[in-house]
Amino acid sequence: MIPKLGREDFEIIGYNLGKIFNFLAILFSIPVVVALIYGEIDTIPYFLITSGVTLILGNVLIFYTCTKKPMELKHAICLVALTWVLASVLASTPLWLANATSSYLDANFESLSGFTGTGLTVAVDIDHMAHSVNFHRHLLQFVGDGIGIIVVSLTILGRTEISSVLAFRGEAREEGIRPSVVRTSRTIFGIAITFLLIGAIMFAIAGLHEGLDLRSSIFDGFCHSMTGYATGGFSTRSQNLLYYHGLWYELVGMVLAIIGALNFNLHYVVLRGKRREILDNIETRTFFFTLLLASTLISFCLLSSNVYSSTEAVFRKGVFQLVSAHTTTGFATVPSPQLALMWPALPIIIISIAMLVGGCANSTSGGVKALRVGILIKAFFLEVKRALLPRSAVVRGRFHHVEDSPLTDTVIKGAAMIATGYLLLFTLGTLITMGYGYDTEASMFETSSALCNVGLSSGITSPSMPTGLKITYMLLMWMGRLEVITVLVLLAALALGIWRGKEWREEKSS
Amino acid sequence: MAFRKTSIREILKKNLNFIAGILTEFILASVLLLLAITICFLLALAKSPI
Repeated sequence: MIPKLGREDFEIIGYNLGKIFNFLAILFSIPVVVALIYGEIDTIPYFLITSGVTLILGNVLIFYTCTKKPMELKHAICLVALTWVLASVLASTPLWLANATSSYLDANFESLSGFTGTGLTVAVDIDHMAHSVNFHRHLLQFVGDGIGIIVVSLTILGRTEISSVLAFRGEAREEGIRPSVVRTSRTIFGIAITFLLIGAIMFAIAGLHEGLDLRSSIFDGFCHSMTGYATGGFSTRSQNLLYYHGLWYELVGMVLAIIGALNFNLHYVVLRGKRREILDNIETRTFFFTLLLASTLISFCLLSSNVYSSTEAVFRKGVFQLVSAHTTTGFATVPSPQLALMWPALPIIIISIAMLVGGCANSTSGGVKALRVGILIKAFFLEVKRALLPRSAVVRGRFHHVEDSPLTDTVIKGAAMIATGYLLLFTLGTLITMGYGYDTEASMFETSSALCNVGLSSGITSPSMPTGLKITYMLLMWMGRLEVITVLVLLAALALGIWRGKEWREEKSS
Repeated sequence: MAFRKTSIREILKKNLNFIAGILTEFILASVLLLLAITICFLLALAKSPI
């Protein structure tokens, strides 16, 4: 029987939520530094108000729910699922106060898109947005998706190891890199900062090469490096990376997106000297194979339909969108109307599938993940082999992911469950979008983009899109980031709590 | 407390695996893109009239 959430459970969740709010208060005050650098004094109160409100809420929660009881898995899952929603609501305040969006719902959409690393945007006039507000959007992606708010806040603010382990699992990063979670978080943080700095330098140099001034190239470079490594996809420009019209800028974006889509475990092993692991790992093999296969298919489609005729155009438009989609980054070099009107149906469907496959597990990317796809493909071939061999033959599968592991039914079932969850939500989202009058390919594209936290758009996502669809995509982004199961557990726990509470009241009254 | 002077060579030697790992990842991503561009080139070549 699923246990009902009682007062004690809510106290544990509330106390940890308070700790996380305290971390978020610090996070929301960082753009003040950017505001001071750029002399944007009028935006400073927006961040100070947000930070102050978050700090007060956090401490009120800690004060009223102070508990020393350890966190269990059910608490961790509810905590994680709630944090993403509440953190987004709080993070939307500066966007709303600065009129960066046309409504409060849009501000929530934008901040949730940021925290989940999606990159779908409904912001208004990004090109003339205050630097500090723009930085805030990018910072949300880097911290929310690049590092993971829950683990960082719990480990920085000193919770017990076991609490962090449980929250780590809830945040769809269940693989431990090192025995200690605090050390794991520090390693993830270290890796992220290293790639952030290298990416920023590369983007800045590419920006200077494309003719940007030093100040703009550094700011844009830093922001794009944050969202590139986090496979987020927000940009400082309304046209995204198309604005720069530069091959080098696009190459840096693709390289950083591929690196961001790799497993943290793999980064750790490779940076410790075991470089051979990249080629032996089932996940990277699957990811690279699907990336090259989809690149070939998309190039062939675009060339044969005469959308683009030169190698450079196919690479910079077709392959770029594909890499962006497969790594779930969302950087774009093709305007949405061109994608919807000029591109044939097949490349749109290929990109939608690539988005569903996604990057590597335990990375910054979304989607079903290459590890699960690799396991399912291997299980499929194993079943074929089993059918061909005599009944008495013992067929055992193995796969290599950092270490050799047996391909057990539990592993296959786990992978199949998550994949089924994604497919169900994808079908539901596509049907809802089609219900609003959009065509099938565009609906598939936009749904997989929201669900797998990609950020590419076929033109559906805009400030003028229907409110119901905005809420649908917000739910998809939230569920996709937490890999469906976490959200389902929260909903089931809440539903059971309400149902049993109702039963109890009925019993009492009778 | 006495500080020991650390030369660039020593720092590089100490972090050799880390630097080599980062380079490996950048090279790998670049090779992937190079393969993709080669595929594009070959397909464009195959499509163009002789």
